[in-house]
Amino acid sequence: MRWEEFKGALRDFLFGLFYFDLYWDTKREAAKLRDAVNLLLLGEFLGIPLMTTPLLLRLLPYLLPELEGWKKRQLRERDITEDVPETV
Amino acid sequence: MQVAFLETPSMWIIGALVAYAFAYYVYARWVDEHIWEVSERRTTPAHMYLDGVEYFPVSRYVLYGFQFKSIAALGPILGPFIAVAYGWLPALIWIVIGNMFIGWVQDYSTIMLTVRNEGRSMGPLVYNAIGERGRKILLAYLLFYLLIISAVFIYLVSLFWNVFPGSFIATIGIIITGLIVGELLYKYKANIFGVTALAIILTLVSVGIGTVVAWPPKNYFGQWSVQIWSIILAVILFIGAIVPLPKFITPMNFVAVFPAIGGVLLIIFGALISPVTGIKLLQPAFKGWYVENVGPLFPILFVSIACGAISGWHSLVSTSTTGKQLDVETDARPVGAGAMLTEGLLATSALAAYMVVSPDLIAKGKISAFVNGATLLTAPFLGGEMSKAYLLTFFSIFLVIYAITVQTLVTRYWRVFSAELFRRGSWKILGNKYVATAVGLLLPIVFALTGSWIELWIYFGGSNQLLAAMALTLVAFYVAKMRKPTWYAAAPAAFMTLVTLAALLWETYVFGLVTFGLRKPFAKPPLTSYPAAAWALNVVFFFVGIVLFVLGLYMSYALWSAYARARRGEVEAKAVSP
Repeated sequence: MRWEEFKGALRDFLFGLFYFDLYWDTKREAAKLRDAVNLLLLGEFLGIPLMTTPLLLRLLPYLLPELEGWKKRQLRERDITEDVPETV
Repeated sequence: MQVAFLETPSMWIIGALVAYAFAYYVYARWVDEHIWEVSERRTTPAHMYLDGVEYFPVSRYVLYGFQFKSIAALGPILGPFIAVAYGWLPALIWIVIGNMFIGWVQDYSTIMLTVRNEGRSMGPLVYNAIGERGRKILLAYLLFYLLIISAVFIYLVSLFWNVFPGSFIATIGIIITGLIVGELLYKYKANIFGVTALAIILTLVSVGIGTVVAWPPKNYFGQWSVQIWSIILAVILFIGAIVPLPKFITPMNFVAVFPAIGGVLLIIFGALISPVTGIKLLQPAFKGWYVENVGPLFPILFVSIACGAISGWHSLVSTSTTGKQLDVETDARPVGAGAMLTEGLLATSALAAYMVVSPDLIAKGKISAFVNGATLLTAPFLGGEMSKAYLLTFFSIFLVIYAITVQTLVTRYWRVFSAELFRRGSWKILGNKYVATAVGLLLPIVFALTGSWIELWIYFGGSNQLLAAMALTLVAFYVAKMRKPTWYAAAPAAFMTLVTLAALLWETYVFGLVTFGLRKPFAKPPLTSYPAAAWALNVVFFFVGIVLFVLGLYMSYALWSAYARARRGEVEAKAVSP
């Protein structure tokens, strides 16, 4: 392993050790809030009759990048064992 | 010099390192290439179901660090305390052999199970193997497991606060640091590295204040001190379980990781350089096959050191998180096997901390043994005598902070779990956010009243290891479906099933003796003044043991039957080629 590769690997390892948990928890919390907003605004995409307004079209460009992941998360069946604490 | 080297823990740790290297570079590689036939070309769930939140590919080095941080908790540190009662050699042999042939096999293989089964976690994997009843029994088993783990950790934190003056103040300092960090990160969007520096400084200052103030003294609240501390802890845990994650748990756990990992690295380093610092082994290598109040070496040794050799909880972590973020299949070995074998190094070093303390401390069951041992190992290169008081507080905080971070997450998970289990029906109230949290704290506090944490730890270790046995049997089932050799998972699964059921049965038998008046109840003051209450709690433990044993036996039977069916070819084969 060359020096540059080693430095990169070490940096990644330290990120995983100290920051990844924080990063991922924050990401999941943010996604939870965004998903709730998306569900209210775009529930019709999933077949929920919410009668959204044409004004939504103005928001659509901002929501568009998230739609694919959001739909996957909403339609996926979840199991309680997925939420186990990562540390014991 | 040679004699001095042999008399220190260093040689044993280096020996263990060589064994782990063999396991990683030879055995794990063979399994990787010949059984799972991993391929960089096969798409992993991280790519297949990419959503940027649950499923996303992560570099192997990041995942390795994350996996190690996730699995290296209190288990490998406190487990050897009980195991060393038989002498350090049996404990060392179990840690090394367990890691080499069982521990990494489970962690690595459960990651591969998730990767090869569309990112499914343990519940759905069990459902696929043995059906809905099996999944429900697994959930019931987990419920009892969470109860036991909470009782152990709540009691231990309360005990640490009582035994180590100043540790409570330092803990509060760290919690306040967590709150400040949370505000800075989430509200003011401060720079992460600046916040990290501030967190480390405030943590060290908190430990310093705890050392200087050294208050409150031991038994500050009289004979009920530990119980009062557990109520104070319950209030903190209650808040942690009900407020949003970014307000409390996430920043506190972020702050806690620095002293926790720092402590781990210091102990490993201290144990490795013990020939230079001159710290010698004081414990006898072997003490006997049976230890009063602990039990027979077989099977208790194999459940007392749980996470350091193998832990069933790792299979839940591997299937619920790590397996969903694996970039390519070839990363499973460095992440799953690598992190577990590194944890083996931590368990070996933690054992070293017990090897260098006076045999008296272990014989008297003094929980301060680890703190004393870790201080002995690290003080020589961190300032000698001058730093000892600070290091004693630091390592007591190290234990407290590990236990609290685990317990906050477990209490919260209990709440979510209860909400899921009691969604409908007449028990719906138990799924309520506040009621579930209160029940999840009250029951363990009542359990912890006896103070017999070693017995509870054996239940915890037994149920945790049985979970590992189930995970390994599940692996054997899926490998049999792939029409590949299953011995590498089935043999450890058989061993673990045997020892864990035996350990649960032994502990149930011991509490059974108490139940039928054939021996004195397990209790510590002040409960010894209330023999009827002590007996009643021991009876409860007897029934908990029966429930754990029966649920475990059913799950083991169902999984082994599924494995046998798969071996006979009665289950549809699963292709392994890309």
